[in-house]
Order: sequence, then structure tokens, then C-alpha cells
Amino acid sequence: MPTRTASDNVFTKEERAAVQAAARERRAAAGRSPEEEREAGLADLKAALAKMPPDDRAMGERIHEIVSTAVPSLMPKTYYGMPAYAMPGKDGKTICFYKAKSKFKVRYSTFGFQPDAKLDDGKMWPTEFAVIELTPDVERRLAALVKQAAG
Amino acid sequence: MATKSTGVKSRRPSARAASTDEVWSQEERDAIRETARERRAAARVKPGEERAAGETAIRASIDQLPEPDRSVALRVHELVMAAAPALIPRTFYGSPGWELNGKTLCYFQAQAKYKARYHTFGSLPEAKLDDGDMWPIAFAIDNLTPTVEARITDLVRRAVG
Repeated sequence: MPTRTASDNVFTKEERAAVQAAARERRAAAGRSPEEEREAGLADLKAALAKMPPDDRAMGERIHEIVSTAVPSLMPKTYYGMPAYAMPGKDGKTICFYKAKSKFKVRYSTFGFQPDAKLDDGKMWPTEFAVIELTPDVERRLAALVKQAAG
Repeated sequence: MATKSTGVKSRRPSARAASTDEVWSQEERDAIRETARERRAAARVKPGEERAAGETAIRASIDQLPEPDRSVALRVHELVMAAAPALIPRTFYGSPGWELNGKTLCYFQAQAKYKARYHTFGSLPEAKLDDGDMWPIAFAIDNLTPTVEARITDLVRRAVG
């Protein structure tokens, strides 16, 4: 009977890669000065985009333009290896991220928000969205959400 | 020689453990361990026993929550099962989840789980919530009002298709 004890058997290759990426990001961020932060974060984000298949990369590049235009002060970074954006300043929290569909091999990409995003609306409000295609309408909705999230 | 090699071996793992402790919060490490445990347990479940095993696992994950999260999670479990009785309970990264066709359809992450400021009710690609080129797949929940409960019920009904 096979023994299943190694975590290698329990977690998928994609999950392990995401966890390892997050550990690297956290260690790297700890050693950066605020001045280096934006430049290094942008380099990490571009590197994450470069690793994606063409369709996911194109969507990620366009999302980067949309987010950077909507709220230029947001800090580009990666979050579990995904392109993401944090509030400016020391210990600025990640407020949104782009999870390409290739990341966990699913049928749609996700644009998601973290608890520091100010999207509150009553007792229940959307925090993550499936994105199939960046139509003009979808682009407008994303820009509006990012602006609202950054407050 | 033996002493030297033992010294090297004992230093390395402890150094790695210390840096892992700095990088991951207690909640995150717990979630990874729970997920490993739930997947190993799920692999041992015999065909036909998935529902009972899943129900037990979900109840255990809910029991671990502090109040008021425990009551909220329990109520969400009731709502989901009432909306779509065919769903099979199954934990998802240590949180209550419900599956269809062997894949998690939706999950409930209690606020206390990651010390967040809200609970999250989320869906996965198996859920049929599709609406044009962009649609919401996860929601923050502040607390359960009759309106919020009705929205969860509607989401689950639509998700199963």
C-alpha cells in the first residue's frame, strides 16, 4: 500500500509554486527601502507577466495599464507570484491582484480585492470577479472598482 | 566526522524552520497543515461514504471557530444544503466547502480564520454564475441578515445550474 506522507503528493505543482513565490516575495520585501520598493515591485510584476501564456499576459499587461492609470500611486508588486497592487507607504497592504487563468489551470481569470480595499457596500459585497475578456465595459468596471478600492 | 555531519544536519532544518516562522503567520501555517490533512483523509474515504465523511469534516472545522463565526458558518451550511441538497460537504483549505461532480463549487471562509474584517463566501469555476465577460465570484459578508441569506441561497441555486 502506498504511503502518502510527503506534502509533494498532497499539493499540486501550481500550489507549491505559489507558496514558494509568496515566501520569496515576503523575504525580498523585508530587505527593501521604500525608494527601491516601487522599482523592485514593478520588476517583479513584469517578470510574473513574462512567464504567462500570451493571452493571459496580454490581459495582465492591459490590467496593469488600467490600474496604473486609475490610481497611479498604487505600488506594483507580486502576491503569491501574481501581479498585484498595494497601497503606497510603509507596510502598504495589497489591495488587488490579477490571477491569470493559467495559474491554477481554470476556465477564467480572476481580478480580486483584499480586505484593505474599500469596496464595502451594506452587509455583502463582491470582492472577486471572473474576467473572460477585457471589453470596454469590463475595463470601465475594473477602473471604477480600483478607484473605489483605493479610496 | 560523525559529530560534524550531525551538527550540519541539525543546523540546517532549524534555520529553515525559523525563517519559515517569520514568513508565514500561525493562521497560514495552520491552513496549509489542515489542507494536507483534509486531502489525505479525503483520499481514504470509500465510495458512498463521501457525504458522511464530508459532513463530519465540515462540522469539525466549524466547531473550531470562535463565536459568532461558528454560528454564522453553521447557518451558511444550512442555507447551502437547503438551496442545493445534492451538494456534498467537503472542507476546502480547512474551511467549509460544498462540492458538485467531485469539485468544490463554493466555500465559506470565516472572518476569524485569517483574522480578516469580514467573512468570505466564494465560488470556484465549477459554479455556473457566468454573466457576460465579468461577474462576481466571491463576496465579503459582514453579517447574516435576511437579505444576505436570500442572496446566498440565490447564488447557490444559480451555481449548481
